[in-house]
Amino acid sequence: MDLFEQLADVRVPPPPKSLVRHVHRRLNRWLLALHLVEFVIHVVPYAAGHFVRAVLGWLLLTISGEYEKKK
Amino acid sequence: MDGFAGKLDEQSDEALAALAAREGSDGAAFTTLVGRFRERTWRICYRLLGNESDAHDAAQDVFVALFLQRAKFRGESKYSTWVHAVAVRTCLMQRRSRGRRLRREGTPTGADLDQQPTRRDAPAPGAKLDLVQMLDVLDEEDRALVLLKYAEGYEYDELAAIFELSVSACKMRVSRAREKIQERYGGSGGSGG
Repeated sequence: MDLFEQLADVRVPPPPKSLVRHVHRRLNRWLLALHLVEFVIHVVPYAAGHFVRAVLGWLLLTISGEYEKKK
Repeated sequence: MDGFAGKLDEQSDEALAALAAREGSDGAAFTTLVGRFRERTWRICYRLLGNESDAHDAAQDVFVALFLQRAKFRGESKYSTWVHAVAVRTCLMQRRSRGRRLRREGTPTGADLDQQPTRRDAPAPGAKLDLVQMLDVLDEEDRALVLLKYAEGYEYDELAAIFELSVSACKMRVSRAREKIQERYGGSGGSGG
């Protein structure tokens, strides 16, 4: 018998029962990290932009008495 | 819910992969795929890494990679081939990083032993060689090819799809790997084709 074919006789243990649970746990960590990154990249600049606009509008109103310049 | 799960079980791998690509999190379709490929992925990881702890770690990495890349599956090959290719790449990466780590720590790896002047090719008569250890003289990809071919019984066309090689290139690499083992271990390195 070919020695290489004896490789098939090397026993492989059954997969651990906890494998699927660990996969989901690791995936959840990844998803949490991805959502946090997405939040920081998209939501935070958007919210900050709106906040800065509101503050600028308030300053403008304080200085000129007008909220928006009339054209 | 049972009815929905039952319907998913009847779907082909490719149809489930398409459903999983539309899921925002690891939903029912992806969970069904994990269940289907759990055993096969585990076997590949165990064969290539040689111990349960590393195989467990690698199998988790494989499923995370499958999830993160789920939208990249275009259906040009069978989904099972794609899963096996991801599993092989993950294990090869893990073996390479393990090799680098061992080299940094000064522990000799299979490749280092290969370059040492002491000959391992003359076992005492009757000594039983560890087949899997013998494969350490091969480079990582050739080792994986030989293991999947002989230990897991993959056909050359499946190997070609997994390793993105031609069938003839796969045959040649397996044949060269056999020759290398035979050169190194003499008569005990296998006979026949």
